[in-house]
Amino acid sequence: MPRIADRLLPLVLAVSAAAGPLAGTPAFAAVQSDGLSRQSEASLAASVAVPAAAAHALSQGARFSVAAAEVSAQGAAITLSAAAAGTSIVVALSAQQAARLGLKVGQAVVVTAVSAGWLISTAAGEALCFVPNPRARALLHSERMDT
Amino acid sequence: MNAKVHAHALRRALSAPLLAAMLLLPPSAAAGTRCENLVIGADRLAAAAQTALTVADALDRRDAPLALVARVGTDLSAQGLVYSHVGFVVRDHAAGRWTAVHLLNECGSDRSGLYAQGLVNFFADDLVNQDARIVWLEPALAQRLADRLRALPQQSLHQPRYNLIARPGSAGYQNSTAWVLETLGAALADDAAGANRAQAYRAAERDGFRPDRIRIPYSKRVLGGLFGGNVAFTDHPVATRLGGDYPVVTVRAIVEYLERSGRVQAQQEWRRGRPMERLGAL
Repeated sequence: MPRIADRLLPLVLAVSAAAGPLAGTPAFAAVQSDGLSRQSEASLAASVAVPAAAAHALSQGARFSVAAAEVSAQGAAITLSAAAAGTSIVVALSAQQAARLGLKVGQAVVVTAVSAGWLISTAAGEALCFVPNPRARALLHSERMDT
Repeated sequence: MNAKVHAHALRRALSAPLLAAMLLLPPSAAAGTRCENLVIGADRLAAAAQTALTVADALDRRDAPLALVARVGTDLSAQGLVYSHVGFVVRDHAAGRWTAVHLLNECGSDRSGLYAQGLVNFFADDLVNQDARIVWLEPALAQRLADRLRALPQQSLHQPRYNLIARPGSAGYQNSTAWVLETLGAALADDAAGANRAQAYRAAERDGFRPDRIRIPYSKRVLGGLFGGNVAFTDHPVATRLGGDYPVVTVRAIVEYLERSGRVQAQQEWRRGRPMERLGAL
């Protein structure tokens, strides 16, 4: 975990200096939509950090369930574990979402294979996260050039 | 909250494992303003990845080193426009097999950066829908552009002062479509290697480029509160500002010019996830 944290911390700071969409710009003036979305940057880079073992387990149809839920005012970290495969994925939720979903340790989640990877949802059908497959993962990167 | 402050506060407030966990994967709800550190929804990310794979497959099927790819990030129907952003996509770029090379505005500010991004990132950027168009260019032009973009940041023709409604040919400002057009123009210029921005724009004009015009009446400009850091009306002459018809480089203007000038080899388009037999409006 600390290793992943080391990788992601600079990323948080990097994306802080990036940009957002043009929400709020009156439609009559919006002739471009070239605002970089920090949301995308953070979450997309995070998707790449899913352990390969977890992606493999998903591809093998492993069953995942909630193994831990760490909640703070800033948000919740939900650990989804495939006990049989010995691997886990940590999903970030907003504190509000976590409270609303009320995920409990031991609760099963639903894995749905889609063309570009897997969607993990609650039994009620609310998507918790998307894990890209290797083909999609190869198309996930972002670099700002130093011009 | 200021984004940088937000990040620092996060760093202080959270243990490293929790911070890592919070960033690891997106929740399903995405909301907030342009500079907040929120994340894209899982369903939307899956849709973007689907579009990225579809577009990459189409790019793989043709033997071309480069194409233009357009996306729909903002509903521009009030302006009669469909596509709101276009970038180049380069085969076998150092950053990845198919890499989008494009200019992005930073945080609604008056600054921009050039980015090399994967196609998932390109189609995940808070888009209105997942419609997409690929425009393949004539082979010689595509090769010159690919060589040029693989060599970035050399001769980038990038003006980091951003203006959403940049005047075509403006020296003081640039937006994403203007950068694409000028890069095209540079590849067409007599001295392709040495062309500056003005020469690149003139080369595109000589090749047949004509700007689009959008109407922003003075009253709306004032009442609409258009004082954002990324909009500079003063880039345009007083007569334009009084008249309210602003020349701009739109995706439509670029693609229609390339079609007129015989620079397009082929096009493909997807609407609502389905390939279109006939191309739709730009």
